[in-house]
Amino acid sequence: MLQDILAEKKSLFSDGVQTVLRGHENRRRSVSVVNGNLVNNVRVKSRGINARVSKNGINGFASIGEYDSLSADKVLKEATDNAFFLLKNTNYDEQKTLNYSGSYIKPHFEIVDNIQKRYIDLCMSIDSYIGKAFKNLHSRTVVYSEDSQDKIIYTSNANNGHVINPRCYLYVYLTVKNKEGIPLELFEVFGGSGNFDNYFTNLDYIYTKINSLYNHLMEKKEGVYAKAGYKDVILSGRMAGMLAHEAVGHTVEADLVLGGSVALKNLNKVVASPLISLTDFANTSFGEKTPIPIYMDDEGILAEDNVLIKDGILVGYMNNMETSMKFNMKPKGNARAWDFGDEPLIRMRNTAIHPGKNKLEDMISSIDDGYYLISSGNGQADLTGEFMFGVTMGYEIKNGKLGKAILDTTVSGVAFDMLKTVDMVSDRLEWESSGFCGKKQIIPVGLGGPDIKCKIMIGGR
Amino acid sequence: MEDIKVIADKTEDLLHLNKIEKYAVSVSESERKEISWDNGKFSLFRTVISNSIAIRGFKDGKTGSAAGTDVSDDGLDLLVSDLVMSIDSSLPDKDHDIAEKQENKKFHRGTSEENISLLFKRLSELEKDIRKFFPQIIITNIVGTHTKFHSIYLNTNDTNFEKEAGYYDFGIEFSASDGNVSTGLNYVDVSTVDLDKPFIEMGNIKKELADTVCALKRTNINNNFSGTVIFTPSCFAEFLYMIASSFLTDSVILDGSSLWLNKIGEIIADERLTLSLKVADPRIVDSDEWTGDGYLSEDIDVIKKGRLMTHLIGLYTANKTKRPVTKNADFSVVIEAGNTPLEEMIKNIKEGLVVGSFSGGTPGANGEFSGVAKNSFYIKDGEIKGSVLETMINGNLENLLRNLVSLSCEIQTRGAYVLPYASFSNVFVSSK
Repeated sequence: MLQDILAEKKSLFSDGVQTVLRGHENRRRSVSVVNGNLVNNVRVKSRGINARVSKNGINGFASIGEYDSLSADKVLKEATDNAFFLLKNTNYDEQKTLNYSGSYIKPHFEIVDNIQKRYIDLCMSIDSYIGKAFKNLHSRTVVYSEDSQDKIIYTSNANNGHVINPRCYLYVYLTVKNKEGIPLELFEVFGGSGNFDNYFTNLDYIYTKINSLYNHLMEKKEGVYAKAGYKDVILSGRMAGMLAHEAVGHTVEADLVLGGSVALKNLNKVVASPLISLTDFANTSFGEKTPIPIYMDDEGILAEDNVLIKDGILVGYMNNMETSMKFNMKPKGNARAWDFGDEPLIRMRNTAIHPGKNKLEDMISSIDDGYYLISSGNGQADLTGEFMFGVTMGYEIKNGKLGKAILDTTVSGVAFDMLKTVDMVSDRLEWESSGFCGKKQIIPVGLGGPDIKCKIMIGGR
Repeated sequence: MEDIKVIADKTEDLLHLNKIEKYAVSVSESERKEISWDNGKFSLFRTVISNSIAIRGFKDGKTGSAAGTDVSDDGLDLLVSDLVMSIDSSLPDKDHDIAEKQENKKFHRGTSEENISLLFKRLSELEKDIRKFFPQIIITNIVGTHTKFHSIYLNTNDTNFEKEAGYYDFGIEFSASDGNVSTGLNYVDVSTVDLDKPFIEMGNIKKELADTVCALKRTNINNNFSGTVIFTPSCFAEFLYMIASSFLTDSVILDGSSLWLNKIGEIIADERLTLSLKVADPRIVDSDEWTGDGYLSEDIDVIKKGRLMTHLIGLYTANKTKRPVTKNADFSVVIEAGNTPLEEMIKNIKEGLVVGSFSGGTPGANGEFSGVAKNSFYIKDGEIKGSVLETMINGNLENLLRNLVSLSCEIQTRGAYVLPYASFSNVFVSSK
């Protein structure tokens, strides 16, 4: 855990500017096993200090990959020089400074750094189970990856604190060849926020889910191509979570709203079916801890839930301190940075569509000709809200019943059009948090939702 | 900050102390300066000073790796402890190795002395030029950077590499709007070693901006069809990267899922296609001079006149699968110009698209791709009819290169690749 060497540096903060000083350590452990071979076995740690000095909406930022008193002095000076270089060469209006100071936030987690052998043993155990249980696989890959962020933050006009976020995941990839010799793959992820012992001491639930993954893969082996077109589909909770994140979440990040996103003209307007409510949760949702709990952001703002769509109406954006002034909204802790060299950007935390009242079985039986889409590989969207998600596992729905599995495909649409077509929302919530969101920097996020029934474009033949 | 050679020496001493007799050490220091213009004003001037050190060690047939940024004496102690833990936890595997002795070399590329005032001037000028010449373009952001670094690599086979380099890079994120219609977002990124020319004159940016303005004229596609698509050079680069990931790289060769696993020497593409990876081509601004395994990088042909020449694999995969290692770990891809003008390529298409970028799912091992054609235009009877919305393209990466129709005479260089426009038949197009 980082030792606090920065508290005394607050006395060096200049008057007339806003300053944030951040000590930051990231740690990563990873192991990969392919068909029983240990391919990757790495321990990584990055550590440094950065400062951001702001005035009139201009930011000077400096960071150095060392963690000591002299480096703190150095980044404070360089960040100030950088801010004044831009101030000297531009002529922007003066901006008022808001004050959010008050608290010191203490860590909510601790980092447990295990010996590397535990990670290797885990991967080898899982690999061995798969090797023995499923003889007809073409290949198997098991990856363990954990990372943690440890930050000490001091600010001139917001809160101070020490925040820690560890998370750990196990990824299992299975590949089989179909009768034409074409390889087909599926994967499953286990783990979440916290440390190794939170998830990987009893492996029985993992074996059960691997069995289920294998069964899905065998069905995909006999799968058919989806028929391209505009179809009735049910998106699983994980797919709905991706929709919440990619297609809605990014368009309501206030920096992208200023960049001309579709949300600019839609505030307080109907953008979705009244069945849809969507929130970027800070650290607790529906009575449980979120996958990526955030208590204070990297500008020193205490994290609160941010309701974005309420009963189909767009009601808010995600802000940092600067954009909150422009939109006259309260900042709720969305300014986050990944590494010690990164400046805080407006980022999501745990973005989810709220569950509804329908049962999945009823949703399936309401479709004559469509698809139930379960797993996604990746997704993208742009400022117009036009999105696409890769689909790695799904089934046909014929006459209200699940049919054949489908091969990999893609779905696309325009978020605020597509969300208006939602006419059923299931009563269960699924979260996904194992990846990173990319927006100049990577950042861990949670994304979640219920199953939703909607109309969407599906790629295929 | 201590000299990186001193840091490397200290690291070697610690490795010897811990009886790690076979190892490779990479140490680098870098400084990046970045100026950002966002939503109407200059908003950020950022300096990132960083060190990095990565060690790979071997003992008793086992290997491990550790990396970090803390190069203080305590930091190096911890790093080597992590490495020892990683090795001790590992399993013996003789296929993990480092490259045999290479010729020791020093490299200098680009310019290590940055001119921030001139960079700021070029960025300001670019923003003004775009507003003046393309008033319908909405700029979301412009980011200009100068990055300089000094790195060394050494290993116990007595190989020593050293490199000092510096270059500029600028990117623009933009769309177009006429007040009623808005296009999707577009992005251009250009790397350069100097600031001699106004940025608007570089990397074919004017055409990209003009095309985005043209995209304000929309059209609808009324039916699904199988047609010919022209990929712009930047979109072609995206597809080549997907092809490499699906068929050529370590993961798919090691697990045996690549459809090109046993296709070396065979025709896998149209015979007019030669795809090379270059190290020292003057049109490529920066490329890795050595590989992670410790080989000197070489120019290689991946596909020569349609024939697959090599996979793109490191030493472990090469040893494990008994294949030759690839002595090039970058993807600075070069395909030379063809002989068809872009205008003629369009005229020759009965029905198809010009695809500016692709937003799609990561193709599976079977090479099937499916995704949204972004910044794209519909072609009917040899004419561009307008831009398209909510239009998807589907196909198979393995078939794609066999279905090459033509390569353009025009070539695009933006520092990271050298590519022409390329058209391919039998791509399935569907629209809402």
